Amino acid sequence: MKRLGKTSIRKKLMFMLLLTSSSVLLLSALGFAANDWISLRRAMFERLHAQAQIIGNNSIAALTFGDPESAGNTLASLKNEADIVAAALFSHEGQLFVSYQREPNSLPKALPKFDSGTLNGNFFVVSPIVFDAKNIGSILVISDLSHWKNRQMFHVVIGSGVFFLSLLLATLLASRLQRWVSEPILKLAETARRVSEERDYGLRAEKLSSDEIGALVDDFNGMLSQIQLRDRELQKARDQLEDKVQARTLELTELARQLEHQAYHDTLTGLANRVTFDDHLRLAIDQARRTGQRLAVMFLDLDRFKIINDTLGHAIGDKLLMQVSQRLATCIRDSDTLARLGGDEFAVLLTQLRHDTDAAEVARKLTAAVAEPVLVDGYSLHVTTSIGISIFPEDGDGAETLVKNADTAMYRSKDRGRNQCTFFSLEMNARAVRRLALETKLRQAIDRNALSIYYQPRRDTCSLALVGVEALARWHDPEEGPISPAEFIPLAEECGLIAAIDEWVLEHACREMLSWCSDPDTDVRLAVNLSPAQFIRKDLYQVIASILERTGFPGRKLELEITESLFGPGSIDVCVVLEQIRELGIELSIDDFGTAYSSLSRLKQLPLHTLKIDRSFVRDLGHDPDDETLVRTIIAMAHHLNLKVVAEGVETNVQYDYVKRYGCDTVQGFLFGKPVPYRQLLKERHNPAFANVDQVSG
Amino acid sequence: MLLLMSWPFGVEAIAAETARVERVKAAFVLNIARFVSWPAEALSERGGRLLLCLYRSNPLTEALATIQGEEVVGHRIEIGRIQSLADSGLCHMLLIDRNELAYYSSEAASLPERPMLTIADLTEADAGGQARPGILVALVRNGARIGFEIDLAKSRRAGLRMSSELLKLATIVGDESIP
Repeated sequence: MKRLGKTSIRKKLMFMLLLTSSSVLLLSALGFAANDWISLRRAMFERLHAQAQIIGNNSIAALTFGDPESAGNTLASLKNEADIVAAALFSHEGQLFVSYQREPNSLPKALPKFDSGTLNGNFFVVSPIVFDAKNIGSILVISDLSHWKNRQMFHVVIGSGVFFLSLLLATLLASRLQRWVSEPILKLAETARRVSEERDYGLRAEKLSSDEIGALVDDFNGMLSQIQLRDRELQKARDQLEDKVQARTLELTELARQLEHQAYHDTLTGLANRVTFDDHLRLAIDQARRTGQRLAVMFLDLDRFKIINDTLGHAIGDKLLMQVSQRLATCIRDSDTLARLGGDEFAVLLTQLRHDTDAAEVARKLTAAVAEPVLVDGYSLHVTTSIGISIFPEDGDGAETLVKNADTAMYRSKDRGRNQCTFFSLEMNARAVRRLALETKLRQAIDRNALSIYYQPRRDTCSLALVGVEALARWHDPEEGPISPAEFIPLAEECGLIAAIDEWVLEHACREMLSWCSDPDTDVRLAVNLSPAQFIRKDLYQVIASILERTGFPGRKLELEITESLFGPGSIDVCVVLEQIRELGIELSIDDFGTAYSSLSRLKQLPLHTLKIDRSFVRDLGHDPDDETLVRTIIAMAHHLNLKVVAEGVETNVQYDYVKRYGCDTVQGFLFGKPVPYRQLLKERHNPAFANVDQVSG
Repeated sequence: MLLLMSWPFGVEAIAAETARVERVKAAFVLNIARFVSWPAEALSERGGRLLLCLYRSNPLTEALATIQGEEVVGHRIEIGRIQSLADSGLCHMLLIDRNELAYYSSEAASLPERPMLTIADLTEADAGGQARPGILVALVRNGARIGFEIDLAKSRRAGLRMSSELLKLATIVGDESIP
């Protein structure tokens, strides 16, 4: 059955038809042959019997009368019968009476016991001879089989011939007739194959018959229609999908491009970001190493940017950054890299340095570019930048080291008073580490109220009477001991902590000094430093007013010291704020006067009361004639502007004599009292005789 | 098997041989009767019996006793003896010895033709082959064997029908022997 499974349906059908017809033919041929054999045999026996009977009857008389001659004649008549080989008459007693044989030894010795059968390959019959109801003898007739065999053989040959002819006819018919069944199936199969090969669902199978195969063809065509329909829909959906995919791919490509740009660029300014900068720096270092060239890393930080950002808001801070970025970009070559590292930090990579001064030149250009006032939303913002520079290979042979050292150098610039650039040196590392530690500690100190206030007396120049005290923040760290204000105040300004310190000092000083300053018998004024950063706050007035309200400190006894830089070129307009503050009764003084650019005409417009000559000028009195002239001029000018003058940092009698001679109103310095805590100040109040003063007066 | 008579081997032997020949003749008579058909009425009027009559003296009397009671075509054979042909009205067969043949011939001339098979024993006679008055069948010597002659024409006239088988073995005599 398996083998048959591989053959074609045509062959199967032919095989079936042929098997059926040949089986039927063979069976019928066999049936006919058997029937033929049996009937022929029976006919033969019947004929033999008839012959035996005839011969027997003809021999009755001869047998009765014992006439062998006559009987012999009768038997001899059998010689015309070709197939009869022998015959014999036997008497009633079974004795041979007379015989005839065509060939010798054809006869048996005795009469066979059966009346028919085969004998030595021949048929025989024995027929009794009855006369007058009496058995008078028997006749034996023997017939040759060969004749019968020949007839049988002839029949077999004819039968075989007919069989094979029939088979041939059946083959011809089968090969024709099987097409009725196989043709439609093969057509259908061919169509199905073409459909699957060409993927053409528009093809249809031809219907050749209306039978079950015809129904199958109809169903197949119906199925093809369904598939065709679905194929079309699928194609449509696929086209739509492809369009969508294409559109989405474009979007994604664009997004990827943007993301890539974002990954390597700063979103706000469009400058390179830290990743790109590090990348460029590494490449540049590799190249510089190969070619033996030098390169510079600059670290820029906008001074006081945090204050602007915190007080005016991020929107303005961002716009400021964008403008500053544009300006910075104009100062460098295309081959250099300007990056925004985050916040207000920028970095510049300068490659192929030819001279040591190249980096300094660029730094100078950058500083100048930033120093120009920036107009943002009506504010004229004055920012400066502090720059640190490290050089490859002197200041480090790796990207990280170079950046870190440039950063350190930048902080050094800040420490030195900002708006300048500093080249890295090895000793800076230690300072940088300390700075970081200090910043952490300072934050903790503010949070824990660990700062304290010292008060330094201010005395009348002539009478040396106590006319005021300046409240100064002091920081005593449990581990490091006292930390100089010169160290932690700039740090606090840089970290944005200065406002908190200022307010804390103001409020606590007001509380401590309240009773003293409210005493109608004394006229002592409290001076508190106010960082310029405070003036960018729009609510400065409210802050000060609320402190006065909370503490009950009288405004007219309060003096706020502000630095000169507040009024520098391009500085924000503080006049309104100062006017508001003055309305509280507060007097305003310029601290550290002479260290920055101050336009005298501008000073004139401001509601000021006092100028404080910076200690750096006082220090050299008696040594430096320039400074002496300057101090003298300041005093004269201040008086001309109707301002009182305070000399700071008076430590020697020479200095005291000089300022006294030129009419300085009040003095302040170690010579007249160091900054001391409130308790100690109270003691000294009741003991106004100062040792130093005595010396002076003495 | 019919054997020839053979002389002489003493008196006893001759007597035995004579008896055997007589028995053969008796068998011949019986067998011939079997090949002859009588008209139906001739047989039925005797009550189903076939009457074999001996004409006057006959040496076969003793031998014929052996066939007494044999059946021929369903008819039992009875043996009787008549002294004159005039008494033969009931006989179906009449057996005539050679010695009585002259006397019979004298009577037979007036005999009406009726279905009675007359058989004469001429085996001792010298001449044969000719018709004799009133004799339908004659037993004759045929070489070493016994044969018989049949007067077919006369038989037909008498209303007897001879079987063709019988005729094959017989010698036909009489007027119509040569048609």
